[in-house]
This record gives sequence, structure tokens and C-alpha cells, in this order.
Amino acid sequence: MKKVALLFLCAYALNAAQFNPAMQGYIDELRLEAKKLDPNFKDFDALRGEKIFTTKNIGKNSQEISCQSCHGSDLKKEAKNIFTGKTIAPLSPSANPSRLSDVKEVKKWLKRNFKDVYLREGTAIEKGDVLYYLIKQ
Amino acid sequence: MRFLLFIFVAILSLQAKGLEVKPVDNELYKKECATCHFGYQPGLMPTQSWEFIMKNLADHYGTDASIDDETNKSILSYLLANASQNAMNYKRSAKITKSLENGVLYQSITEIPYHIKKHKKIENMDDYAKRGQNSIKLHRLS
Repeated sequence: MKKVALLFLCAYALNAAQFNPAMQGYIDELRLEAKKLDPNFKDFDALRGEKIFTTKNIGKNSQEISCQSCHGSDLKKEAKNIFTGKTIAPLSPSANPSRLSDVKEVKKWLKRNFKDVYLREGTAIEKGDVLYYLIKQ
Repeated sequence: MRFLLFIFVAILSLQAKGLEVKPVDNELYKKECATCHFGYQPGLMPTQSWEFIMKNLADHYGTDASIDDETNKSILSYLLANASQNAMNYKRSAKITKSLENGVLYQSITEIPYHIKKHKKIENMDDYAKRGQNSIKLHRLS
């Protein structure tokens, strides 16, 4: 019985950290681009993604910010946009299943938010890394 | 009795006519624009201003608010159809339109002459901020 429960738990944990088919398609696109950028590229890395997400940089309006400035340090909770004061729903897909589910939304916000924090668009490698980090949250 | 009914209907129709700006009635506009800021009614600016804004979303008052072409087109057509000069049956949209100078491209709501005139008495917006009041809440537009 315990074994079965453990199996279920593992299955759930695996499932929780998986992209849906459309998002997997986008990840595959990014991977192709990443290989073009770096012939030695193997796979995206959640740890590198976490670093991108948490590192502060002089961004929008010359303010020193990271992604966490608006999304919070606990991604399972709501957070406040430091520029507009608007509430942002949790970014963690386990707390908010709509996150990382719609490729169009994901592309839109990755582009905008990289520019907010890093004043440039992210590379395919950076975008994939961040998505690998976020899907596990 | 019939007279009373007439008065009642007359009051009702007056109220309906009294809407000052057409409320936002487009779900895509609400989703793509009003998740980040107040959903300003299209009737607050003329078509030329909305065209300018939708063409320059990558630098939207200092923020990248770019969206894909298909969504952009769809929102723009809603904005144009309801822009101030196309909503002249609404009191404020008519006044806004009449306040515009020929050949001027107004790049934000705050540049529109009618809005400037109407906000002259508000000398210091910071006072409102200090009192925890949002300028938009003071309007009760929709």
C-alpha cells in the first residue's frame, strides 16, 4: 500500500513538472535555436534559470530590480507589481495552473519582462532556462 | 396614468442618454490592456491617438507592452470603432473631439485639451496620492 502511495506521489510530482504538448513544442523550438547559438548546448537548466530570475539588474526606469521584485520570492503567492501596484497572480504552475499553459501568453511576457529587468530580450537559452525553473515551482 | 407612464419613460431615456462615455465592452481589450492598467474607454481619445499607441506598444510610456500582430489588429479595430469622434452621441467624447486642434497628434489622454481644461483645478496630483486616492476612482466614469 505504501509503495502504491509512493508511486502515485512520484507520478504526481513528475506530472506537476511537465509542460503541456503546446508548451513542449515551444521548448523544442527554443532548443533548436539554442543549438544554433551554442553548438555545445545540451539542455536547459533550472538552476541557471533560477539565477536569471533572482539576479538584480538596473532595469526599467533605472531601478535595480529582478523578476522577484514584481513576482515575489514565494511564487506560490500573489505579488504586487512595483511599478503599477497591481496584484499579480501566483507564477507557480502548481499554485496557479493557468501559468505556463498558453504559448502565446508565455512568449508575450517573457519578451516584455526580460526587457523590464535586463533591458533586452532574452536569448533562446535564457528563456528555456527560466521556463525549466518556473515549471518546477 | 398614461401621463405618469410617459414621464417614467422620459426619465428612463434621459438617463440612458446621460452616459458620458461608452463603457468598455470588449473582452480582448480588457484582457490585454486592463490587466496592467485601468481600461481607459476608447471614447477618451481620437482615432489618431489610438493608432499611435497601438503602433508603439514596444515603448508604451516606457514599458514594453508589445503583443502579436493578430491581437494588435483586433484591439485596434475595436478602439477605432469607438474612438471619440466615432462616439459623438456620448457627451464627453463629443467634448473631447471638439477640443482637438487640427493636425496635432495627441500621444496620451493627458495631452487632450479637454482633459487638461477639466483638470486645471487639480494643482497637485501628489496630494491625491498622499490621501491614498486614485485619480481614476474620482471619476466614476463607468
